Amino acid sequence: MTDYPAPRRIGAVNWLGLWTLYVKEVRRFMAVATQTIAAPMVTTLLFLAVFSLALGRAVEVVNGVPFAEFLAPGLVMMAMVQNAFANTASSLVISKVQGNIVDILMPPLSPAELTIGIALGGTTRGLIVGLATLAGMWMFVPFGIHNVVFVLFHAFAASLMLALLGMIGGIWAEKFDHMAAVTNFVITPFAFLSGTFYSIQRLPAFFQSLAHANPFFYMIDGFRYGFTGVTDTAPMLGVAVMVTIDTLLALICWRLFVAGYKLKA
Amino acid sequence: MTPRRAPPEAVSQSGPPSGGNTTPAPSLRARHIGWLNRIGLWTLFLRDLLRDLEIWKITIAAPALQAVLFALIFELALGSASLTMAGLDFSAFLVPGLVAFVVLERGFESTAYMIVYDKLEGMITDVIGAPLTAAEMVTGFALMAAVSAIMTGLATWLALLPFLAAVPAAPGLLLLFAFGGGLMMGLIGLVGGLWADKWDHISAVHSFVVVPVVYMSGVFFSLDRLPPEIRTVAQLNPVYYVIDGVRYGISGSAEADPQTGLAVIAAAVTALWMLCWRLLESGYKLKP
Repeated sequence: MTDYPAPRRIGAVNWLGLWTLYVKEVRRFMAVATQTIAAPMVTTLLFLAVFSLALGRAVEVVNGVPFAEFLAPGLVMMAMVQNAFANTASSLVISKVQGNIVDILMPPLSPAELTIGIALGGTTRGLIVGLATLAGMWMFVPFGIHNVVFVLFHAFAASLMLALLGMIGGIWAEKFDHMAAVTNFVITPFAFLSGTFYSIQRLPAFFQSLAHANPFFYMIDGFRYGFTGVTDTAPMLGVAVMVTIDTLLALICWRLFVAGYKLKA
Repeated sequence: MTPRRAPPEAVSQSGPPSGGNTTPAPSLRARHIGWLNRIGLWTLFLRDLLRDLEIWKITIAAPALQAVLFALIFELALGSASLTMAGLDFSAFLVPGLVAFVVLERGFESTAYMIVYDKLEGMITDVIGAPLTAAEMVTGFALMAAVSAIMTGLATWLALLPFLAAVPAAPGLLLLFAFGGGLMMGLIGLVGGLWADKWDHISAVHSFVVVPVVYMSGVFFSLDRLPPEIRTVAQLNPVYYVIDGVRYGISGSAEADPQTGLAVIAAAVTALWMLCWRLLESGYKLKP
């Protein structure tokens, strides 16, 4: 009697849906890889060139590490976080403005699955940009690796954190202007001023204690520790901070999707 | 055709008007346009300038903030180490470089992104269809870019005052170099915008050509830091003269002779103006 196929049974996790969402997020930026991967890589290498040429003679050593070797991990981290943020943020804002956000709201994906799929898409962009930038820098700055676990952990945790922040921003923003404002006036200043280019011991005491409340500082410092073995703080404290922040942000994203904030009527 | 309404005070004083007799009906004859369509040129210039100003957070505030961030990180990275560059204290070297950088980048962006946007949205017909000659279009776009660039440059200079509190050494030359740089980059943006078929193309020109050339032409460091072969190439590049000239205008010290700089920039602007004029005249990528 019943010729039509039975509906697909979905267990606790919609693995097929989650994978599809993730692949869609990754293909979205891979389709414009010159803009999303090559451009940040070139910009970051330019930063390295500019800083080395301008300050190389005056600043030879930071915290006992040669200036270029100090700078390189910071720049890689900066490129990663900016791109992880840009990916989730632009993906959501474009979908909302163009109306194809229904394509991710309608399928049988739970709020948790949406959060994970989109966040991992942004994290992947951050990691790919980081890898490309690192490979480019290796040609100019021969730096070693002190502890590969810290490198990998902070690369992943930082990309994830910014992907989640980008998701919150993307859900909140109603047009491209809003997103550009958050990028220009919040994310870029944090990425620039949290120790990418200098040791925070350079800062006045008040700003130094402020820096210790800034997660961007821990990710840059921890990532750099993985390469140079030199740190401005206790390495495990950074790990704890990143895990806490990532968990909190993921919960916020999940709550926003559950509530349908700015997504559902 | 609706007659224009009489002003309200005329109504209250003399009772209901007998019909639109207070103003003559607009003439339906074609407007006579002389050798230069002044109204058209002014309208094009103002339309695009206002479009730039409407998104001032992106076109003025963001570049100024970025320049402040650059100044801040360079100062912090330098710390207590002292550094002189081309005979100037590092701040006196860097601040004019950043102002020039903002002027150059803004000049390029204002025309490039506007043209691509208009092409993709189909709005470019508003310009092509208007009674404007190719020469008037090129001039309108280039002037708009230069003025937009100078406004952003001014905001950036003000924002950078905490790093270099000094009155510009040669304000006239400063304005001239900024204007020349804005024109030049506006024309380059016009060429790029006409060539680009989509956002990818224009942002590739921006990330892979404009930003690298500007960064390496003396914004952050004196060209004597470069290997001699590269230095010779860099000195052929008009962008270098804009940066050097702006630095002369603000800090009063330059590596190259300002008059040579102005001559190089004028030559570059003329050549680019001719190229843009040829492109618009031939309808390159705009007309079938």
